[in-house]
Amino acid sequence: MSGVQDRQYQRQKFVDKLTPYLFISPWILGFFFFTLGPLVFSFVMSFYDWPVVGEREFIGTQNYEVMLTQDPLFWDSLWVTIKFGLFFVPFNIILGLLLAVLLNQRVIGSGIFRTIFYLPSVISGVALVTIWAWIYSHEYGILNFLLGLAGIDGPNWLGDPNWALLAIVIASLWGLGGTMLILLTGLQSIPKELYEAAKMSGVPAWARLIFITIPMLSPMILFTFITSIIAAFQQLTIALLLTGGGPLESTYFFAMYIYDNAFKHFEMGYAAANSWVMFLIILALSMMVMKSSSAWVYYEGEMKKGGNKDA
Amino acid sequence: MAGVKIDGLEKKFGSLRVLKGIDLDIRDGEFVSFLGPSGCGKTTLLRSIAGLEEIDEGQVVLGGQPISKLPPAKRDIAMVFQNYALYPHMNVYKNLSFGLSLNGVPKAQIDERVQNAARILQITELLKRRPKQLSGGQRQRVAIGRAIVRDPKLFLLDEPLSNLDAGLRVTMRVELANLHKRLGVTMIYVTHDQVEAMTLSDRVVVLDQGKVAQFGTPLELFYAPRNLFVASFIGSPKMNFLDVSAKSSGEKELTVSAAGMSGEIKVALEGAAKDVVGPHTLGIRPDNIELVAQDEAHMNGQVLLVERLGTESQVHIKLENGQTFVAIARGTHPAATGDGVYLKFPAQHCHIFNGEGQAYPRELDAETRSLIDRQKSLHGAAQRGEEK
Repeated sequence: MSGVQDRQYQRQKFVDKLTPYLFISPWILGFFFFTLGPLVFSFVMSFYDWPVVGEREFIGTQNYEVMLTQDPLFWDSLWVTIKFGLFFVPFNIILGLLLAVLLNQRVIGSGIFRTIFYLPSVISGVALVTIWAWIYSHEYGILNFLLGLAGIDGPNWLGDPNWALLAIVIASLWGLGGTMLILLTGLQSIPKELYEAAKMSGVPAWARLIFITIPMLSPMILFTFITSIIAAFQQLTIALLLTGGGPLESTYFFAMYIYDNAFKHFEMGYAAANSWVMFLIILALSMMVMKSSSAWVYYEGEMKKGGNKDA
Repeated sequence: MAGVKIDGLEKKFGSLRVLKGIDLDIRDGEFVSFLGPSGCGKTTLLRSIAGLEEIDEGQVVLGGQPISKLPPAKRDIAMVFQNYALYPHMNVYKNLSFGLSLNGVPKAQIDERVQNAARILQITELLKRRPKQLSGGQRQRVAIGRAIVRDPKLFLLDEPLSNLDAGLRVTMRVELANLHKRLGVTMIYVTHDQVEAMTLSDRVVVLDQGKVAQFGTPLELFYAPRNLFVASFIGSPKMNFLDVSAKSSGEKELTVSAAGMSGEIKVALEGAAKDVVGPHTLGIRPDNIELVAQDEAHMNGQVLLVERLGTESQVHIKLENGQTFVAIARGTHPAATGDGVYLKFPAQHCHIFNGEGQAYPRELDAETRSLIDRQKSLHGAAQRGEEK
């Protein structure tokens, strides 16, 4: 090979290697500037007393110390969020699964129902809250009107500390279309012969659901489990607009607590520290779920050790 | 164990008639194949027997009991699916025992049945594995095992070997035949592979567009096809067909002639054929065509292509009328592309079909006749007797 050809070959090799990186560069840049950058920045921020206007001051771990030892609102809002999650996560998955199983039946109009059930997930949060504010209204709300028809004296949904959190759980579940859709695609990828084989051996319908559908769907359930936990912790819009955290802070979510610290009290450093604690909690919960998953999640492509390939 | 009787079975998908009045009488202990091209309705027929498809008309009777209205689980039938349909998240043991444990079979009995099926199929060491960790042949065995543990009256097998590679398919074919002998249970086997159907079955149902084209022993289908469809479907390479005119020359004889054919062929029939005139079809299998000298020949043609398979040569010949015939000659036959060749159609190997494609039953030589009769008497029950 002559020198010129050799140089050309080297050049081409370099270009070939560079090309893939050029293709992903928009994402890489976006990731650095809009995700990793702010992440690192907020971490630094959390060690400062950082008012929006005025001098910032490095105060070490003081933000974290105050939060954990001197700020009852931190614990209260965390507790509200956990209570919310304990309702929201299981109901989101169970109802999503039930809807998906219903929609997976081959009946006329299942396409229409699919659209109807998914519709709330595309409606903007504000519109959703407006609708629910009307539904829940103590005096004019349709919910209490309907309960009244059944002879039940409905509670003041949004004004009663005992009911407000539940009201928000119900309103949040309106958006379970996304979960439903994920589980529905999972259902449709289960080979129908498995059910036919089970039918032939006299396996009843409930057992087909528990012993075939749910295990086959477990990777999707794991995914929705984790995303539901994250959604629960980040719950802000509905509570903020529907109850504003009240009554008596019974719906004062952790995300709202961070929001208030940042944009009401202008304690940016403190809010950053709050956010990092939230991040760590979500991370810890997700890791616990992932860790447990080896016991209950079945992956199609997985090859457990001890497999042999000979006939 | 029981025979299967099917009466006037009809099945529609929407307005499409998939099964158009199927009547079959399958004997106890028999191994029967449903054979046909894709779309002929063979799998639908199987699924109708299983109860996975509801039938529109007719009746399915298993061991004297009408089952068409029963749910699949109550029919006492086990089915092996084409893609095995093993539960991927369960190990082999659970795959075999799953149905039983949900039907209240005692644990000890389940274990006994599973171990027994595993022994028969030689998969005892695999019981702890998941389907993913098994080879295709092993998975197939597990799928069959799942049928065996139920101890059903009838086995249905839907193209069970079609996902295996060629070598394994032959091995599993032999194993299936042995399994049938050992269990003695009635089996219905769906396939589009005529070699599987011919080698495994006591009798074969050839299906064509939702109708039974012929139901007979493998050799009957080959030597005495009842119509053009069966004649062209069974046998490889396919039977050659030629438009001829035929007339009855004697009580049990037809004389055929055709444009470009020198001389006539007199085909002996089993029964009398009277008032036969007009257009007919002559069929002759490639291995029955003889390449001869000009003076003995019925037709001549030009060699298009010679495929050398070693033991035989498949000679593709273009006839004067433009049709292509395939003849099988000996492996070392010297024919080469472009050569002129002379073809002889020995009368005892000619099949004659009328204008509707129905065959005139021809007279078979003593050897073929006795072979067919032997196959007929060898079916299911007799085979089982031998084994016990």
